Amino acid sequence: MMYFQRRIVEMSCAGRVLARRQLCSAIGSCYVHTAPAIATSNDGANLRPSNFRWRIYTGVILERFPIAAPPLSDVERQYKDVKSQMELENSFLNNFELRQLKEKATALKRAQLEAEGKNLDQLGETIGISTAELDYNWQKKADSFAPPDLSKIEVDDEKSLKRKFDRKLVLVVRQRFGVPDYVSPWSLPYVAHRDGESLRQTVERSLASLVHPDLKATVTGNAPFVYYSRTFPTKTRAHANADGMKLFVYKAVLSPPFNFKLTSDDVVDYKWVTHDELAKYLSPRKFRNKILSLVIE
Amino acid sequence: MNRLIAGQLNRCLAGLSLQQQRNIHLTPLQSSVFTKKIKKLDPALAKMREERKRNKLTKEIRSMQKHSKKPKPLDEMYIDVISSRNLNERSRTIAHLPFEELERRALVHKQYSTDRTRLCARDQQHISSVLRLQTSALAALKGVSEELYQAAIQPDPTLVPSTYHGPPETPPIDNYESPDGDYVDTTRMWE
Repeated sequence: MMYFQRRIVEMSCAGRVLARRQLCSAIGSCYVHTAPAIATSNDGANLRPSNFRWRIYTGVILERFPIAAPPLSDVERQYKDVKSQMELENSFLNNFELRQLKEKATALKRAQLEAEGKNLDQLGETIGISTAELDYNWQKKADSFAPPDLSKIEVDDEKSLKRKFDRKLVLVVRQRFGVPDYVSPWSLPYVAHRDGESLRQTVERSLASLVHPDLKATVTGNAPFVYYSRTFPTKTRAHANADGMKLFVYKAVLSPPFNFKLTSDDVVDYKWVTHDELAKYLSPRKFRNKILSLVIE
Repeated sequence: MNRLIAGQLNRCLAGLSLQQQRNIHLTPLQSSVFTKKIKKLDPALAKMREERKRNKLTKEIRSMQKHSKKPKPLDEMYIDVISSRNLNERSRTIAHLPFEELERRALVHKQYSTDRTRLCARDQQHISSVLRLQTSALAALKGVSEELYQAAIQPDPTLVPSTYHGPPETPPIDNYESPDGDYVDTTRMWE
Protein backbone atom coordinates (compact mmCIF):
# COMPACT_ATOMS: atom_id res chain seq x y z
CA MET A 1 0.00 0.00 0.00
CA MET A 2 2.81 2.34 0.89
CA TYR A 3 4.42 1.56 -2.40
CA PHE A 4 1.19 2.27 -4.19
CA GLN A 5 0.79 5.69 -2.59
CA ARG A 6 4.37 6.54 -3.33
CA ARG A 7 3.79 5.56 -6.95
CA ILE A 8 0.89 7.95 -7.26
CA VAL A 9 2.89 10.77 -5.74
CA GLU A 10 5.77 10.07 -8.11
CA MET A 11 3.44 9.96 -11.07
CA SER A 12 1.72 13.21 -10.25
CA CYS A 13 5.07 14.89 -9.67
CA ALA A 14 6.29 13.71 -13.03
CA GLY A 15 3.07 14.95 -14.62
CA ARG A 16 3.44 18.38 -13.06
CA VAL A 17 7.03 18.73 -14.21
CA LEU A 18 6.03 17.67 -17.70
CA ALA A 19 3.13 20.11 -17.77
CA ARG A 20 5.37 22.95 -16.61
CA ARG A 21 7.89 22.13 -19.30
CA GLN A 22 5.22 22.07 -21.99
CA LEU A 23 3.83 25.35 -20.78
CA CYS A 24 7.28 26.96 -20.89
CA SER A 25 7.92 25.80 -24.42
CA ALA A 26 4.44 26.86 -25.44
CA ILE A 27 4.86 30.34 -24.01
CA GLY A 28 8.24 30.61 -25.69
CA SER A 29 6.81 29.83 -29.08
CA CYS A 30 3.81 32.01 -28.38
CA TYR A 31 6.03 35.07 -28.15
CA VAL A 32 7.67 34.22 -31.44
CA HIS A 33 4.38 34.08 -33.30
CA THR A 34 2.21 36.63 -31.62
CA ALA A 35 4.40 39.50 -30.73
CA PRO A 36 4.82 41.12 -34.14
CA ALA A 37 1.47 40.43 -35.75
CA ILE A 38 -1.47 40.24 -33.47
CA ALA A 39 -3.00 42.53 -30.93
CA THR A 40 -5.44 40.41 -28.99
CA SER A 41 -8.82 41.35 -27.72
CA ASN A 42 -11.22 39.12 -25.91
CA ASP A 43 -14.83 40.06 -26.23
CA GLY A 44 -14.23 43.71 -25.77
CA ALA A 45 -16.87 44.42 -28.39
CA ASN A 46 -18.66 46.91 -26.15
CA LEU A 47 -15.59 49.10 -25.98
CA ARG A 48 -15.24 49.30 -29.77
CA PRO A 49 -16.41 52.37 -31.70
CA SER A 50 -19.73 51.97 -33.44
CA ASN A 51 -18.17 51.89 -36.91
CA PHE A 52 -15.93 48.96 -35.98
CA ARG A 53 -16.18 46.38 -38.77
CA TRP A 54 -16.32 42.77 -37.65
CA ARG A 55 -15.90 39.99 -40.12
CA ILE A 56 -17.03 36.41 -39.51
CA TYR A 57 -14.54 33.61 -40.16
CA THR A 58 -14.84 29.88 -39.75
CA GLY A 59 -11.96 27.66 -38.77
CA VAL A 60 -11.81 23.90 -38.87
CA ILE A 61 -10.01 21.32 -36.77
CA LEU A 62 -9.47 18.63 -39.40
CA GLU A 63 -8.55 15.41 -37.63
CA ARG A 64 -7.12 12.14 -38.80
CA PHE A 65 -7.97 9.47 -36.25
CA PRO A 66 -5.33 6.88 -35.26
CA ILE A 67 -4.77 4.19 -37.87
CA ALA A 68 -3.17 1.70 -35.48
CA ALA A 69 -3.82 1.13 -31.80
CA PRO A 70 -1.27 2.74 -29.51
CA PRO A 71 0.89 0.37 -27.45
CA LEU A 72 -0.42 -0.54 -24.00
CA SER A 73 0.63 1.65 -21.12
CA ASP A 74 2.67 0.09 -18.30
CA VAL A 75 -0.38 -0.26 -16.07
CA GLU A 76 -2.44 -1.84 -18.84
CA ARG A 77 0.30 -4.27 -19.81
CA GLN A 78 0.88 -5.40 -16.22
CA TYR A 79 -2.84 -5.89 -15.72
CA LYS A 80 -3.12 -7.89 -18.92
CA ASP A 81 -0.17 -10.11 -17.93
CA VAL A 82 -1.56 -10.78 -14.47
CA LYS A 83 -5.02 -11.55 -15.83
CA SER A 84 -3.77 -13.99 -18.45
CA GLN A 85 -1.52 -15.65 -15.87
CA MET A 86 -4.49 -16.12 -13.53
CA GLU A 87 -6.61 -17.47 -16.33
CA LEU A 88 -3.92 -19.97 -17.24
CA GLU A 89 -3.61 -21.12 -13.62
CA ASN A 90 -7.35 -21.71 -13.34
CA SER A 91 -7.69 -23.55 -16.64
CA PHE A 92 -7.74 -27.29 -17.42
CA LEU A 93 -4.95 -28.96 -19.35
CA ASN A 94 -5.71 -29.28 -23.03
CA ASN A 95 -5.10 -32.32 -25.24
CA PHE A 96 -1.74 -31.07 -26.42
CA GLU A 97 -0.52 -30.49 -22.88
CA LEU A 98 -1.69 -33.99 -21.92
CA ARG A 99 0.33 -35.33 -24.81
CA GLN A 100 3.34 -33.34 -23.66
CA LEU A 101 3.04 -34.78 -20.16
CA LYS A 102 2.72 -38.30 -21.56
CA GLU A 103 5.81 -37.82 -23.70
CA LYS A 104 7.76 -36.56 -20.74
CA ALA A 105 6.75 -39.58 -18.68
CA THR A 106 7.73 -41.93 -21.51
CA ALA A 107 11.12 -40.28 -21.84
CA LEU A 108 11.75 -40.72 -18.11
CA LYS A 109 10.77 -44.35 -18.26
CA ARG A 110 12.94 -44.91 -21.28
CA ALA A 111 15.97 -43.46 -19.51
CA GLN A 112 15.25 -45.67 -16.53
CA LEU A 113 14.94 -48.82 -18.64
CA GLU A 114 18.10 -48.01 -20.57
CA ALA A 115 19.98 -47.51 -17.32
CA GLU A 116 18.81 -50.89 -16.14
CA GLY A 117 19.65 -52.45 -19.51
CA LYS A 118 16.15 -53.80 -20.05
CA ASN A 119 14.15 -54.27 -23.23
CA LEU A 120 12.55 -51.08 -24.53
CA ASP A 121 9.58 -52.87 -26.13
CA GLN A 122 7.34 -52.42 -23.13
CA LEU A 123 7.43 -48.63 -23.49
CA GLY A 124 4.75 -48.66 -26.17
CA GLU A 125 6.07 -45.54 -27.90
CA THR A 126 4.07 -44.24 -30.83
CA ILE A 127 5.68 -42.94 -33.97
CA GLY A 128 4.80 -39.39 -34.98
CA ILE A 129 5.88 -35.77 -34.79
CA SER A 130 6.99 -34.94 -31.28
CA THR A 131 5.21 -32.25 -29.32
CA ALA A 132 8.42 -30.27 -29.03
CA GLU A 133 8.75 -30.13 -32.81
CA LEU A 134 5.09 -29.16 -33.24
CA ASP A 135 5.46 -26.48 -30.62
CA TYR A 136 8.55 -25.11 -32.35
CA ASN A 137 6.82 -25.01 -35.75
CA TRP A 138 3.75 -23.31 -34.35
CA GLN A 139 5.84 -20.75 -32.53
CA LYS A 140 7.70 -19.99 -35.75
CA LYS A 141 4.43 -19.50 -37.60
CA ALA A 142 3.07 -17.31 -34.80
CA ASP A 143 6.20 -15.15 -34.92
CA SER A 144 5.61 -14.48 -38.61
CA PHE A 145 2.33 -12.78 -37.63
CA ALA A 146 3.93 -10.56 -35.02
CA PRO A 147 2.82 -6.92 -35.29
CA PRO A 148 5.37 -4.84 -37.17
CA ASP A 149 7.45 -2.14 -35.57
CA LEU A 150 5.39 0.98 -36.31
CA SER A 151 8.38 3.30 -36.28
CA LYS A 152 9.79 1.42 -39.29
CA ILE A 153 6.68 1.83 -41.46
CA GLU A 154 5.85 5.37 -40.49
CA VAL A 155 6.89 8.21 -42.75
CA ASP A 156 8.93 10.74 -40.82
CA ASP A 157 7.46 13.73 -42.62
CA GLU A 158 5.16 16.31 -41.10
CA LYS A 159 3.34 16.66 -44.42
CA SER A 160 2.49 12.97 -44.61
CA LEU A 161 -0.63 11.40 -43.18
CA LYS A 162 1.39 8.23 -42.75
CA ARG A 163 3.22 9.58 -39.74
CA LYS A 164 2.41 8.69 -36.10
CA PHE A 165 -0.02 5.86 -36.86
CA ASP A 166 -1.12 5.59 -33.25
CA ARG A 167 -1.80 9.28 -32.68
CA LYS A 168 -4.46 11.73 -33.67
CA LEU A 169 -3.26 14.26 -36.25
CA VAL A 170 -4.57 17.77 -36.82
CA LEU A 171 -4.03 19.95 -39.91
CA VAL A 172 -2.28 23.29 -39.46
CA VAL A 173 -1.63 25.69 -42.34
CA ARG A 174 -0.10 28.98 -43.38
CA GLN A 175 -2.44 31.00 -45.58
CA ARG A 176 -2.29 34.02 -47.89
CA PHE A 177 -5.90 35.17 -47.32
CA GLY A 178 -5.96 36.45 -50.90
CA VAL A 179 -3.00 38.78 -50.45
CA PRO A 180 -0.18 37.80 -52.85
CA ASP A 181 2.88 38.62 -50.75
CA TYR A 182 1.45 37.82 -47.32
CA VAL A 183 1.94 34.57 -45.41
CA SER A 184 0.09 34.11 -42.13
CA PRO A 185 1.63 32.44 -39.10
CA TRP A 186 0.80 28.77 -38.51
CA SER A 187 -2.77 28.15 -37.44
CA LEU A 188 -5.92 26.21 -38.25
CA PRO A 189 -7.34 26.76 -41.74
CA TYR A 190 -9.66 29.81 -41.77
CA VAL A 191 -12.14 30.99 -44.37
CA ALA A 192 -14.22 34.18 -44.40
CA HIS A 193 -17.96 33.73 -44.25
CA ARG A 194 -19.99 34.79 -47.29
CA ASP A 195 -23.48 36.22 -47.18
CA GLY A 196 -26.28 33.73 -47.65
CA GLU A 197 -24.53 30.62 -46.42
CA SER A 198 -24.65 29.00 -43.01
CA LEU A 199 -21.45 28.61 -41.01
CA ARG A 200 -21.40 24.90 -41.71
CA GLN A 201 -21.62 25.55 -45.43
CA THR A 202 -18.64 27.89 -45.10
CA VAL A 203 -16.68 25.13 -43.38
CA GLU A 204 -17.67 22.64 -46.06
CA ARG A 205 -16.58 25.10 -48.75
CA SER A 206 -13.22 25.55 -47.07
CA LEU A 207 -12.79 21.77 -46.77
CA ALA A 208 -13.70 21.31 -50.43
CA SER A 209 -10.96 23.75 -51.39
CA LEU A 210 -8.45 22.19 -48.98
CA VAL A 211 -8.95 18.49 -49.39
CA HIS A 212 -8.63 16.56 -52.63
CA PRO A 213 -12.04 15.38 -53.89
CA ASP A 214 -10.99 11.73 -53.46
CA LEU A 215 -10.78 12.28 -49.74
CA LYS A 216 -13.84 12.62 -47.59
CA ALA A 217 -13.91 15.01 -44.67
CA THR A 218 -17.05 14.99 -42.55
CA VAL A 219 -18.01 18.01 -40.49
CA THR A 220 -19.35 17.05 -37.06
CA GLY A 221 -22.56 18.89 -36.31
CA ASN A 222 -24.04 22.21 -37.32
CA ALA A 223 -22.94 24.09 -34.23
CA PRO A 224 -19.50 25.65 -33.80
CA PHE A 225 -17.35 24.37 -30.93
CA VAL A 226 -15.22 27.40 -30.19
CA TYR A 227 -15.70 31.14 -30.52
CA TYR A 228 -12.81 33.54 -30.55
CA SER A 229 -12.59 37.16 -31.56
CA ARG A 230 -9.67 39.43 -32.17
CA THR A 231 -8.87 42.78 -33.75
CA PHE A 232 -6.65 42.98 -36.79
CA PRO A 233 -3.42 44.93 -36.72
CA THR A 234 -3.66 48.17 -38.71
CA LYS A 235 -1.65 46.71 -41.61
CA THR A 236 -4.13 43.88 -42.09
CA ARG A 237 -7.25 46.04 -41.79
CA ALA A 238 -6.97 47.47 -45.28
CA HIS A 239 -6.82 44.25 -47.27
CA ALA A 240 -9.08 42.28 -44.93
CA ASN A 241 -11.65 45.07 -45.34
CA ALA A 242 -12.46 44.69 -41.64
CA ASP A 243 -11.15 45.78 -38.26
CA GLY A 244 -11.52 42.46 -36.47
CA MET A 245 -12.53 38.87 -36.84
CA LYS A 246 -15.05 36.71 -35.08
CA LEU A 247 -13.90 33.15 -35.48
CA PHE A 248 -16.12 30.11 -35.13
CA VAL A 249 -14.30 26.80 -35.10
CA TYR A 250 -15.82 23.52 -36.27
CA LYS A 251 -14.50 20.00 -36.17
CA ALA A 252 -14.14 17.61 -39.10
CA VAL A 253 -12.94 14.06 -39.47
CA LEU A 254 -10.95 12.75 -42.41
CA SER A 255 -11.89 9.32 -43.73
CA PRO A 256 -9.40 6.88 -45.28
CA PRO A 257 -7.65 6.30 -47.67
CA PHE A 258 -5.16 8.90 -46.57
CA ASN A 259 -3.47 10.29 -49.69
CA PHE A 260 -3.61 13.95 -48.81
CA LYS A 261 -2.74 16.39 -51.55
CA LEU A 262 -2.98 20.12 -51.18
CA THR A 263 -5.48 21.59 -53.61
CA SER A 264 -5.98 25.13 -52.35
CA ASP A 265 -3.91 27.95 -53.86
CA ASP A 266 -4.51 30.05 -50.79
CA VAL A 267 -2.64 27.67 -48.51
CA VAL A 268 1.11 28.15 -48.70
CA ASP A 269 2.23 25.41 -46.37
CA TYR A 270 0.66 22.71 -44.26
CA LYS A 271 1.54 20.19 -41.57
CA TRP A 272 -0.13 17.29 -39.82
CA VAL A 273 0.67 17.60 -36.15
CA THR A 274 -0.10 15.64 -33.00
CA HIS A 275 -1.85 16.99 -29.96
CA ASP A 276 1.41 17.89 -28.15
CA GLU A 277 2.88 19.54 -31.25
CA LEU A 278 -0.31 21.50 -31.92
CA ALA A 279 0.36 23.76 -28.92
CA LYS A 280 3.31 25.49 -30.56
CA TYR A 281 1.40 26.25 -33.78
CA LEU A 282 -1.48 28.05 -32.12
CA SER A 283 -1.50 31.49 -30.62
CA PRO A 284 -2.46 33.45 -28.62
CA ARG A 285 -2.67 31.47 -25.42
CA LYS A 286 -6.37 31.78 -24.77
CA PHE A 287 -7.23 30.55 -28.25
CA ARG A 288 -4.69 27.75 -27.95
CA ASN A 289 -6.14 26.56 -24.66
CA LYS A 290 -9.63 26.48 -26.11
CA ILE A 291 -8.55 24.44 -29.11
CA LEU A 292 -6.40 22.08 -27.06
CA SER A 293 -9.24 21.30 -24.68
CA LEU A 294 -11.29 20.33 -27.73
CA VAL A 295 -8.77 17.92 -29.19
CA ILE A 296 -8.46 14.91 -26.92
CA GLU A 297 -6.48 11.76 -27.43
CA MET B 1 -16.63 -80.25 -99.63
CA ASN B 2 -20.19 -80.83 -98.51
CA ARG B 3 -18.97 -81.62 -95.07
CA LEU B 4 -17.08 -78.32 -94.91
CA ILE B 5 -20.19 -76.30 -95.83
CA ALA B 6 -22.29 -78.27 -93.36
CA GLY B 7 -19.75 -77.52 -90.65
CA GLN B 8 -19.84 -73.75 -91.35
CA LEU B 9 -23.63 -73.82 -91.43
CA ASN B 10 -23.68 -75.57 -88.11
CA ARG B 11 -21.41 -72.94 -86.62
CA CYS B 12 -23.67 -70.16 -87.91
CA LEU B 13 -26.75 -71.79 -86.61
CA ALA B 14 -25.17 -72.37 -83.22
CA GLY B 15 -25.64 -68.65 -82.45
CA LEU B 16 -29.35 -68.75 -83.19
CA SER B 17 -31.94 -69.91 -80.80
CA LEU B 18 -34.44 -72.24 -82.27
CA GLN B 19 -36.68 -71.83 -79.25
CA GLN B 20 -39.99 -70.08 -79.72
CA GLN B 21 -40.20 -66.63 -78.18
CA ARG B 22 -42.99 -66.15 -75.68
CA ASN B 23 -43.52 -62.57 -74.54
CA ILE B 24 -46.87 -63.17 -73.04
CA HIS B 25 -46.93 -63.47 -69.25
CA LEU B 26 -49.73 -65.04 -67.46
CA THR B 27 -50.68 -63.19 -64.32
CA PRO B 28 -53.01 -64.23 -61.57
CA LEU B 29 -56.53 -63.07 -61.75
CA GLN B 30 -56.80 -59.28 -61.35
CA SER B 31 -60.36 -58.91 -60.47
CA SER B 32 -63.12 -61.16 -59.72
CA VAL B 33 -66.81 -60.98 -59.61
CA PHE B 34 -66.55 -62.21 -56.07
CA THR B 35 -65.38 -58.91 -54.43
CA LYS B 36 -65.00 -58.59 -50.68
CA LYS B 37 -68.10 -57.40 -48.98
CA ILE B 38 -67.66 -53.92 -47.42
CA LYS B 39 -68.55 -54.07 -43.82
CA LYS B 40 -70.88 -51.39 -42.70
CA LEU B 41 -69.15 -49.58 -39.86
CA ASP B 42 -70.83 -48.39 -36.78
CA PRO B 43 -70.89 -44.55 -37.14
CA ALA B 44 -69.95 -44.07 -33.51
CA LEU B 45 -66.91 -46.28 -33.93
CA ALA B 46 -65.91 -44.48 -37.14
CA LYS B 47 -66.15 -41.18 -35.39
CA MET B 48 -64.00 -42.45 -32.55
CA ARG B 49 -61.34 -43.69 -34.97
CA GLU B 50 -61.33 -40.37 -36.79
CA GLU B 51 -60.96 -38.58 -33.47
CA ARG B 52 -58.06 -40.81 -32.46
CA LYS B 53 -56.29 -40.15 -35.75
CA ARG B 54 -56.75 -36.42 -35.34
CA ASN B 55 -55.50 -36.49 -31.77
CA LYS B 56 -52.40 -38.34 -32.82
CA LEU B 57 -51.64 -35.76 -35.52
CA THR B 58 -52.15 -32.78 -33.22
CA LYS B 59 -49.89 -34.40 -30.66
CA GLU B 60 -47.21 -34.83 -33.30
CA ILE B 61 -47.54 -31.22 -34.43
CA ARG B 62 -47.30 -30.07 -30.84
CA SER B 63 -44.14 -32.05 -30.22
CA MET B 64 -42.60 -30.71 -33.43
CA GLN B 65 -43.39 -27.16 -32.40
CA LYS B 66 -41.94 -27.79 -28.99
CA HIS B 67 -38.67 -28.98 -30.46
CA SER B 68 -38.51 -26.14 -32.95
CA LYS B 69 -38.69 -23.64 -30.11
CA LYS B 70 -35.61 -24.98 -28.39
CA PRO B 71 -33.32 -22.16 -27.31
CA LYS B 72 -30.06 -21.57 -29.09
CA PRO B 73 -27.43 -23.74 -27.43
CA LEU B 74 -24.69 -21.88 -25.59
CA ASP B 75 -21.69 -23.81 -26.82
CA GLU B 76 -19.32 -21.98 -24.56
CA MET B 77 -21.33 -23.00 -21.49
CA TYR B 78 -21.24 -26.73 -22.20
CA ILE B 79 -18.23 -28.84 -21.68
CA ASP B 80 -17.06 -30.95 -24.58
CA VAL B 81 -18.12 -34.57 -23.92
CA ILE B 82 -14.88 -36.14 -25.11
CA SER B 83 -12.68 -33.75 -23.15
CA SER B 84 -14.74 -34.10 -20.01
CA ARG B 85 -14.11 -37.86 -19.77
CA ASN B 86 -10.70 -37.44 -18.17
CA LEU B 87 -11.26 -34.21 -16.27
CA ASN B 88 -9.31 -35.47 -13.27
CA GLU B 89 -6.21 -35.86 -15.46
CA ARG B 90 -6.59 -32.33 -16.71
CA SER B 91 -6.21 -30.45 -13.46
CA ARG B 92 -3.16 -28.24 -13.20
CA THR B 93 -0.87 -28.61 -10.24
CA ILE B 94 -0.80 -25.07 -8.97
CA ALA B 95 2.25 -24.09 -7.07
CA HIS B 96 1.45 -22.27 -3.85
CA LEU B 97 1.88 -18.60 -4.64
CA PRO B 98 4.19 -16.69 -2.34
CA PHE B 99 2.81 -13.75 -0.37
CA GLU B 100 4.84 -11.25 -2.42
CA GLU B 101 3.27 -12.45 -5.65
CA LEU B 102 -0.25 -12.19 -4.23
CA GLU B 103 0.55 -8.71 -3.00
CA ARG B 104 1.94 -7.72 -6.39
CA ARG B 105 -1.20 -8.93 -8.12
CA ALA B 106 -3.44 -7.01 -5.74
CA LEU B 107 -1.36 -3.92 -6.40
CA VAL B 108 -1.63 -4.33 -10.16
CA HIS B 109 -5.41 -4.60 -9.85
CA LYS B 110 -5.58 -1.46 -7.73
CA GLN B 111 -3.33 0.47 -10.08
CA TYR B 112 -5.44 -0.55 -13.03
CA SER B 113 -8.60 0.50 -11.27
CA THR B 114 -7.09 3.91 -10.43
CA ASP B 115 -5.92 4.28 -14.00
CA ARG B 116 -9.39 3.55 -15.42
CA THR B 117 -11.03 5.93 -12.96
CA ARG B 118 -8.63 8.65 -13.97
CA LEU B 119 -9.34 7.97 -17.64
CA CYS B 120 -13.07 8.11 -17.04
CA ALA B 121 -12.74 11.35 -15.09
CA ARG B 122 -10.67 12.81 -17.91
CA ASP B 123 -13.36 11.88 -20.44
CA GLN B 124 -16.06 13.45 -18.31
CA GLN B 125 -14.02 16.58 -17.91
CA HIS B 126 -13.42 16.72 -21.65
CA ILE B 127 -17.12 16.38 -22.42
CA SER B 128 -18.14 19.07 -19.96
CA SER B 129 -15.45 21.46 -21.19
CA VAL B 130 -16.52 20.92 -24.81
CA LEU B 131 -20.14 21.55 -23.88
CA ARG B 132 -19.19 24.71 -22.02
CA LEU B 133 -17.16 25.98 -24.98
CA GLN B 134 -19.92 25.15 -27.42
CA THR B 135 -22.59 26.86 -25.34
CA SER B 136 -20.56 30.04 -25.15
CA ALA B 137 -19.79 29.84 -28.89
CA LEU B 138 -23.50 29.54 -29.66
CA ALA B 139 -24.29 32.45 -27.37
CA ALA B 140 -21.71 34.55 -29.20
CA LEU B 141 -23.16 33.48 -32.54
CA LYS B 142 -26.62 34.53 -31.44
CA GLY B 143 -25.22 37.97 -30.72
CA VAL B 144 -23.73 38.12 -34.23
CA SER B 145 -26.64 36.90 -36.29
CA GLU B 146 -29.94 35.26 -35.38
CA GLU B 147 -30.13 33.62 -38.81
CA LEU B 148 -26.74 31.91 -38.46
CA TYR B 149 -27.63 30.88 -34.93
CA GLN B 150 -30.85 29.22 -36.06
CA ALA B 151 -28.92 27.34 -38.75
CA ALA B 152 -26.34 26.23 -36.20
CA ILE B 153 -28.75 24.80 -33.67
CA GLN B 154 -30.45 22.52 -36.17
CA PRO B 155 -29.86 18.86 -35.33
CA ASP B 156 -27.57 17.00 -37.71
CA PRO B 157 -29.30 13.74 -38.69
CA THR B 158 -26.10 12.32 -40.18
CA LEU B 159 -24.56 12.08 -36.70
CA VAL B 160 -27.07 9.50 -35.50
CA PRO B 161 -26.25 6.68 -35.55
CA SER B 162 -22.49 7.12 -35.56
CA THR B 163 -20.24 4.15 -36.01
CA TYR B 164 -16.55 4.19 -35.27
CA HIS B 165 -14.24 1.36 -36.15
CA GLY B 166 -11.52 1.30 -33.54
CA PRO B 167 -7.95 1.31 -34.75
CA PRO B 168 -6.63 -2.21 -35.44
CA GLU B 169 -3.36 -3.40 -33.95
CA THR B 170 -1.52 -2.98 -37.24
CA PRO B 171 -1.93 -0.35 -39.95
CA PRO B 172 -3.36 -1.48 -43.31
CA ILE B 173 -0.89 -2.71 -45.91
CA ASP B 174 -0.63 -0.44 -48.96
CA ASN B 175 -1.88 -1.87 -52.26
CA TYR B 176 -2.81 -5.14 -50.60
CA GLU B 177 -4.53 -7.54 -52.97
CA SER B 178 -6.81 -9.87 -51.10
CA PRO B 179 -6.64 -13.52 -52.23
CA ASP B 180 -9.23 -14.85 -54.67
CA GLY B 181 -12.06 -17.01 -53.48
CA ASP B 182 -15.59 -17.02 -52.28
CA TYR B 183 -16.58 -16.03 -48.84
CA VAL B 184 -18.69 -18.75 -47.33
CA ASP B 185 -20.25 -17.99 -43.99
CA THR B 186 -20.37 -21.23 -42.05
CA THR B 187 -21.94 -19.76 -38.96
CA ARG B 188 -24.85 -21.91 -37.80
CA MET B 189 -28.08 -20.02 -37.87
CA TRP B 190 -30.73 -20.50 -35.18
CA GLU B 191 -34.21 -19.36 -35.97
